Amino acid sequence: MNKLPVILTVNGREYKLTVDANERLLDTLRQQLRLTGTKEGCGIGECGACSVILDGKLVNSCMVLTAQCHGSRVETVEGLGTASKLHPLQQAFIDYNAIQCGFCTPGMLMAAKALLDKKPDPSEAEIRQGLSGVLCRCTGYKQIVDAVKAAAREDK
Amino acid sequence: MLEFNLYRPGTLQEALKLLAEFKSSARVLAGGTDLLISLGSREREDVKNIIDITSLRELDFIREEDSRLRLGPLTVHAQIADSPHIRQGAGLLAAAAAAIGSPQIRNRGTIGGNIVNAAVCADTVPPLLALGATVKLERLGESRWLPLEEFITGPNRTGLEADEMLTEIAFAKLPATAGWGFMRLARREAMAIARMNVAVILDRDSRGRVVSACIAPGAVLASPARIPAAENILLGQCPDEERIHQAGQAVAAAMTAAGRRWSTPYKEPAIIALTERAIKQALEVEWR
Repeated sequence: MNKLPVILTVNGREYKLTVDANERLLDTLRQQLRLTGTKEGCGIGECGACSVILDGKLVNSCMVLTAQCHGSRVETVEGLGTASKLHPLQQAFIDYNAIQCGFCTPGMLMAAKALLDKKPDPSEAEIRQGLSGVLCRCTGYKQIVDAVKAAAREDK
Repeated sequence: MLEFNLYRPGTLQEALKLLAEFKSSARVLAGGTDLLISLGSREREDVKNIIDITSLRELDFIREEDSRLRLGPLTVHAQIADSPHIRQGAGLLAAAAAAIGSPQIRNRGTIGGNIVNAAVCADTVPPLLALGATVKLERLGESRWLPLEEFITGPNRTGLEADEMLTEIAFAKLPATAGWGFMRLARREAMAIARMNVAVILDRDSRGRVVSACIAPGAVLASPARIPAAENILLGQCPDEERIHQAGQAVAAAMTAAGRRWSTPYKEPAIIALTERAIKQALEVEWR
């Protein structure tokens, strides 16, 4: 198996990496860069826990090889906000109790961010569609949809 | 995941050279939503080389020329769902692309991959069959065009040779007089594989008689296919409830002729209703 050079910009910081041919973007983020906010759930593109924004598009990082991302920009949950200065979506998730076990939360936040980046004022149907690729087994989705609605209002 | 060597050709020519060299030990990687999963499950141990074509911008296009639409195989489902050219000239393909998987899958999965993977449930295939799409296959130094129905030869099987790559999909835009329908049934509304889908295109004359009909179901046959027996029921007619129902029954008959299984008693009324709704959608009449 060959190794390949990759230049990747993650949350605004450029990394020059060498990756195995079969290394997934998810593995690079978690293991090489120690950005463990992005979670591995199913590993087959069904649950969305590993969702990140790649060149402006929401993707499952378990289904992208890092070597396919040479020259790309990646946004992960670590780039959203800091503990002292939360992103409006993060604050809304707290305010609306949109988190229970928390495992899907990074994926939900990135899906919500990708949606609001494209549609700052989404309808409830658009929010539900935007989040439809991330599974949550705790909340029943209601609080999450409400949180995204609130964050969209906040942004205006 | 399996171990393999990954190649990142900078041009289509380079990619075709690599395919010519590696032949059946190689697979072409685009969106990866099917291939990377199968490489994880060790069902592809013959694969030693992966040719990543995601950076070949020359394969990523939607062009409208002389009332034809030409698509590059790297066009992702989200682009197809949002494209004004496709929504206007082939609305059923846009509707099918919009129904696939999740936003994440639609941002990554490509139309070329959907065709080459040739899953029986592939959502873009019935619309493309109804549109009479042809596909361009290229190998180093030569190319050929095949009608899509000849290209797909069975479940997960195509006429693609080991050194060939799908490089274009083309079809005529629908005339303004034509109506279309696309219906899909799955276990959930999102992130679910189609249990059945059906694409319909009907063109009518000024008196409302059907002058051309395409009815192409997927997931209920060994491969998606047009059903002439169903189309003939509507041809030359101003379809009423009875005719529309008969066309649905003809699709169900094609399904049961392809094989019966435990789920067939459930699927028969479902495919009839789904076909009826797709026909009514194409005729722009209420179906609820």
